[in-house]
Parts: sequence; structure tokens; C-alpha cells
Amino acid sequence: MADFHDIFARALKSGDASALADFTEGAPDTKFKVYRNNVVKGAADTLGDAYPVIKRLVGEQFFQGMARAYWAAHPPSGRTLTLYGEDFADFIELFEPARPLVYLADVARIERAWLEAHHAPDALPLKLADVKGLPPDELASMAPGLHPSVRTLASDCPAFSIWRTNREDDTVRKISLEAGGEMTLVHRPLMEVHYRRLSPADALFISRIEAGQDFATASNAVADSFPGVEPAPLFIALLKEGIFKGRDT
Amino acid sequence: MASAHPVLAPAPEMGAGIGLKPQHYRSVLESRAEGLWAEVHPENYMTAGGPRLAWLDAIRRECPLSLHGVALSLGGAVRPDRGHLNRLRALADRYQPALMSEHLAWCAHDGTYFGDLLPTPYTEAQLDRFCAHIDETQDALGRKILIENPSIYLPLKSDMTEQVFLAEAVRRTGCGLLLDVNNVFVTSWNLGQDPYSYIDGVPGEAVGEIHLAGHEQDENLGDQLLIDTHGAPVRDDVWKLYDYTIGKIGPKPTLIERDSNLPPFDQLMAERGRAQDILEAANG
Ligand SMILES: [Fe+2]
Repeated sequence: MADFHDIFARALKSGDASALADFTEGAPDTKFKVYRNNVVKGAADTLGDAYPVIKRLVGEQFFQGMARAYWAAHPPSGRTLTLYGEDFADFIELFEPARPLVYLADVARIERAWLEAHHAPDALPLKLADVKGLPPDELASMAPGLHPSVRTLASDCPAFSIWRTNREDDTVRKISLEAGGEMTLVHRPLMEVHYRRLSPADALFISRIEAGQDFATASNAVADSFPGVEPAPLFIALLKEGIFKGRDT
Repeated sequence: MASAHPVLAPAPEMGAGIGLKPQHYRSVLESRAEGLWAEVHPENYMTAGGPRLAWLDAIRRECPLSLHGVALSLGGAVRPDRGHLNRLRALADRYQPALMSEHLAWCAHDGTYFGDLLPTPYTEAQLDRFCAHIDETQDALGRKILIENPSIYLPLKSDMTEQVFLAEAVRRTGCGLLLDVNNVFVTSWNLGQDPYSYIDGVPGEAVGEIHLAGHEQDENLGDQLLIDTHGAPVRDDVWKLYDYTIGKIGPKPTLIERDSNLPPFDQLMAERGRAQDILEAANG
């Protein structure tokens, strides 16, 4: 009977149910299609919920085609679809019909970051009150690492601006691709996902903390690379946003 | 070995419940409806953290909860996935659900998760395997589960009816049944059988929960094939069958299942109120 499951599973993948005839009462074709359609449409709808901006950018029909192609190449393996679509952005990048939309894959990466931040482990971020009154050298030598929800992304396109207007606005703003690259921060300090455009100096500071360096070393790196930027207010702003991992988590 | 697990004891206050969707978290939390309870797919809560889990914590403090699994693949060719069982157990420990259930179906094979409830032939060999999978699940969870009858679209060659298959699983494993009255209607319609005699064949004392949902006609085959979409109100034919079922087996916690085309909360609660009224009338 293992045969039955093998044959049914193969038919779901190929769409060809003829080999199932030994197991069915009557010809399987039209009725088998209900299952095949549930499977493929279920995966495509899950992707549509996870990538609403991509769907808006390409339209429902194009999205369905792209999602179904993704399903054929990357069917789900885990037992939940909540985080299905891990490779969707990479897939979009190589998806021939989407090639003219050079920003699409990076916008998808931002949507993915939002989803991952939304479901990331709960943890208290480091708060201003936690460090207030610490001796300066103790603060300087703290290397808390990042809050587990933090995701940063870099793009050669204005991917953040494209994503944000398509996420927030009923009538999208015009974004010129000439605007150049943008970096994005997505994180969930408590229960709500936050996002904003990152400056290169912010991004450098965050990457140093992520690498396990302490606040002093990260600040020095910012001062060295961006002579016009004051590291102290940059640090305070990131701290207030809840970017760093809290002490007891 | 299965008989070592506690017997099914739905919380006595469980009347009619609703399938819980994120859009309705706040409304459920604020509702004070008599007998209300909530059911979720545990798979949607298998995340590291985040607001879904926090909402469910809050809702669990207000009303009984049912964890209705869709991904164990009990009707599959191989044993239940160990990692998935562990995650289910962790959710059960966290939320202490009044009820836990799964399906007479399979959904995963050879590394692929299909995300749909797929049919199994009702044969002796399949029954042996299905019961072994239920035993393993009940042992891993430390409690009994309810098994739901599926909607069938494609009839498979079988040695026995679905009712006999399920009754045998109940006898061998001590599991209970989640009787989906809409699925009974849809399957019976699709196979050209009588839904009322299906109900007559169900061991009523094993039923721990009832599902009600909407179905629609297949877009290609029309009324030759009904599809259990969970995307429409419960049909009058199904309400009639539900009335008959409650008359036959007594009042059981009943769920309005709605997974797509979600109506406003009040509309869902009005549908749920109809089931609540029927249950209260049956309770006398
Ligand atoms: Fe159901």
C-alpha cells in the first residue's frame, strides 16, 4: 500500500493522475484535480498572504503563475506553511518573466524579513533604562548582540521606498529607480513589527554589534568610516528603537 | 496501552465554538457569549514567538480551546513525524486544550508536505497502519485525540465503509471521533450515498466534537461534485442533518469552521448562535 501513497504523491506533483486508476472507482481525472488544485492553490495563496506587495506589484494572475512555478521547484517540506517561501526571493531573481522588474527580488526580501521578524522569538530588547547610570567603561564594553527579530537588508535599488509605498498607500507614490540603492531595517522589539530605511552608518553599527563587538568598537568603526557622523546620538537612537538584545534574555 | 490515557472530557461549558482567525482575536476576547470556545490549527502556532502566540495565551484564559491538527498525516505511509509530534506536545502543554483532534487523511509523503487532506483507501492494511499511527500520537501527547471524517472527492477501492473503518479505529485505539456533519453530507453526495444512514452508523458515544461548515459546487462539475471549501455559510441541508445528528447522539461541542472568505465577526457569531440554540434545546 506504500505504492498508493507513492503514486498519489507523484500524480500531485506532475498533475497526471492516470497511474492512480488501479486504486480508484472510475476514472480519476476530473475528481483528482480537486486535490491537485487544493494543494497548488493552497501553497500559492500562502505565498500571496506572505508577499502582498509582490502580488500588488505584478498583479494576481502573474503572481499565481510565479507562485505555482515556485511550488513546483520548491514544494513545502516542513509541516507548517507559516514560514513557507524561504527561497521565494532568490527564485524571483531568476524567474525569467520577472526579469524586467529588477527591484522585485529585493522587495521580496523585505517582505520575507517582515514575516520572519513577525514570528521571531520573543525577547526583551535592551532599554535606555537598562544602561542609564552605568559607569562609562562598563557601557563601552557591552556587547549585547542584536535582538533576535532584527533583519537588515541592502539593495542596489530603492527597494525600501517601493515596498513601503506599496504596503502603506492606496495610491502608490512614484519612485525613480535612479534614486539608487537603499538599506532597510525590520524588527519586532515587542509585538509589533517596525521598519525604516537605514543609513549606511546605522547599518555599519548594527553589523558590528551583530558580529559580537562592543559598543565602543562599533562606535569607533562608525567614526572612522563616516567622519561627519556622531556615533553617540546614533547609538542612543538605535537603543531607543530596541535593536539590541536585552540583558536577561 | 492507549487505554492508559485519560478519557475524553470536553469541558462541560463548551457549547458552540468558532474556528479562530487572527482577524477575530480581539472580538473573541471581548465576547461574553455563553458556551463559546475557539479552535485553531496548531500548525499556525508553531512559531518561535510573536503576536499569534500571545493572542492565543490571552484567549485561552477566557474560553476553552481546541487544537485541530492538519499535518500529522495519520493516514500516511509512514509513522508520524517525531519533530511534529514534539511541537504538538509543546503547544498542548502551553495551552492545555480541552480537545485535540486530527484527520482520517494524509498530507505528507517522502519529504513533501502537500497541505491538503488527501484520501486513503479503507483497507485492512491501511487500518492497521492508521491505528498504529494513532497509538503513537496518543502516547506522545499523553492523551486521547479525536479523529475527523474527511470530505471525499475521489472514491477509492476499499474493503469497508468509512464508518466501519472509523469505528474499528475507535475500538482498537480508544480514540474519539470528530464528526464533521458537512463532510458527511459532501462525501455522501459525491459517492451517491445517504447521509442519514451514515449518521446512523456512527458510534455516537465516541463523538467528542462536531464540525459544521459550508460547501460549494465544483466549478467544472457543478452539482455532480460538492467541495468542502470552508468558505461559505452552512447550507440548510447540513443544518437539517445536524439537527438529526444531535437528536440521535445528543448534544456535543460544535464548531462553525470557516477558513476562507471570512465574514464579519457578528455574522459568524449569528451562525454559531444557531448551533448554540440547537444544543441548548437538546440539553433541555
Ligand atoms: Fe472539519
